[in-house]
Amino acid sequence: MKKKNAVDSLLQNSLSYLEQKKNSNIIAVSSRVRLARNLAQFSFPVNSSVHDMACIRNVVEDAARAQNIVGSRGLYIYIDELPALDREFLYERRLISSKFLTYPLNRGLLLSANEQLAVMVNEEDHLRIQSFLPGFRLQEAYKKAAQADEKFEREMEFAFDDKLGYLTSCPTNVGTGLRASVMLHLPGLTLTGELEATVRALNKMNFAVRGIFGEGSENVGALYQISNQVTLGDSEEEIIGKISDTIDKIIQHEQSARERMFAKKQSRLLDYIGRSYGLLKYAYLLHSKETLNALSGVKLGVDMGIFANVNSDMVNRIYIHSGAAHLQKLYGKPFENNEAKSIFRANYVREVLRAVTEEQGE
Amino acid sequence: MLCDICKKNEAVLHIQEVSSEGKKVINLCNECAEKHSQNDPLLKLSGLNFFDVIEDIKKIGENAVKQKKQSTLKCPKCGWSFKEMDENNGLLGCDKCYETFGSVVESALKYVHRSRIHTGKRPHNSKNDPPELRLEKLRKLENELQNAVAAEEYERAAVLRDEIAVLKKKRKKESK
Repeated sequence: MKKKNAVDSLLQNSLSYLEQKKNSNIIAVSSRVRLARNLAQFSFPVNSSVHDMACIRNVVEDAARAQNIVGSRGLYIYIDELPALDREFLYERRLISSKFLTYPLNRGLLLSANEQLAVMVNEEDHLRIQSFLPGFRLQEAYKKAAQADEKFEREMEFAFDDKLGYLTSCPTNVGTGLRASVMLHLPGLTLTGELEATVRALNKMNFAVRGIFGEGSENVGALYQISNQVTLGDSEEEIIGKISDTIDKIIQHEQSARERMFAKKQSRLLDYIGRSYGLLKYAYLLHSKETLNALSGVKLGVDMGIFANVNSDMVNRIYIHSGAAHLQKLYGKPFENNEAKSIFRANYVREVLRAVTEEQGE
Repeated sequence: MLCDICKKNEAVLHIQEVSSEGKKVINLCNECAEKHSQNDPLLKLSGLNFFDVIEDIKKIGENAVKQKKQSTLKCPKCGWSFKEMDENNGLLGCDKCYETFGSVVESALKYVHRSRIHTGKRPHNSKNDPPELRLEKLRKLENELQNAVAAEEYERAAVLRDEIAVLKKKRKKESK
């Protein structure tokens, strides 16, 4: 099991996770579809013995290998055999949930080389098939997840009830076991003060709105994950359809909010963007939250074509690498103290912003 | 409308409680709702906590009496009981728990999902297809087999023939 270099190899992947085709949606950052499945003969993870969980992990790994689910260059990661830094790294990349940080024993992650398919083993359910794509591509992401589901099915029997559908540890996931979510960047609605009303409306329609790190996380950098809450009663296509329609509307609202700000509050808007850029370009110490918040302003500027020499590639690079674990991997060793980390972060951000400026001969 | 508790913020949550004493309406702002959700499980926040929902159902009379009788209920397959459910935010212990804790789970499902019937995809291993679907599938396969033979696609026809044989065997087993 080659694990030491395996996780580090993901560092080379930095951009495929966020790369979008030209002219694609800039408000939707990424799409994720998750399917929850459990093996019929075992108890759910919350009630499984250590021995059973090791067994389950083996069964799932064997099935994935047999069906080539994560591809020839895919990784088969045993979470408990990873150093803590690597676990934090995977969490920052949103490939694993915080549960895996607290309880790593006999947990696994099957990961495709391009990080677009990640299967968590022994999280709340035996299998959590996750499909990720940049931008707003829920249909596609669902197809990929469904394909992986069908391949697994050829090797194992899932807990399924004729009336209730796929059986999951938490009844909020029963039925389709499907959680579809899109991460939206909503600085416009935040600046115009319409965000709260939007969130309330979404809650009324049975959609969950979460911060970038999912359940229980804060809203940082004007990034919001919108996901369905209903998993039983509607078919997979209906669920995807409903949330897609809603996301379309929110994107329109965000677009309109940005246009209104530009038309009626231009100075405020440019000031906000300028100050955000200034912080990233000149700060000597940067903390992760303020980096993401400032990055939001810069991304808004890039989206609106205000910058001549800052592009979304730079924004994505900073977005991925501003986390503590990512920085430590770039640094090559543990930081002496928090200040050293903040200095290194600021250095990194300035380097990224400097690179393009020089090329374009500012 | 202002929050009934702090009387300062705009109320965003409106809870209506219908009981034998009549109808009670409380209007709460987000902060007060969060503060009081620990004590009053009737408050549902933007994040869905299934355990709170189960507590709701328990209080809403319907299952209250059944509950008392079922408090020593244990899943025969995995040993899960209401105590474990309590300690684990409403999680179930295994697939058989759905049967064991049937009524409580079902009511909660209706509350969360507004439906109790799955209409989405099913596993392909025919064991899980309801009998009518299996017949439909059989007919479809037989039809495809005829087409394949007519088109002289004998390899595909062989695969279909085998699939039909497996399906027929399963149906025969079932009808016994």
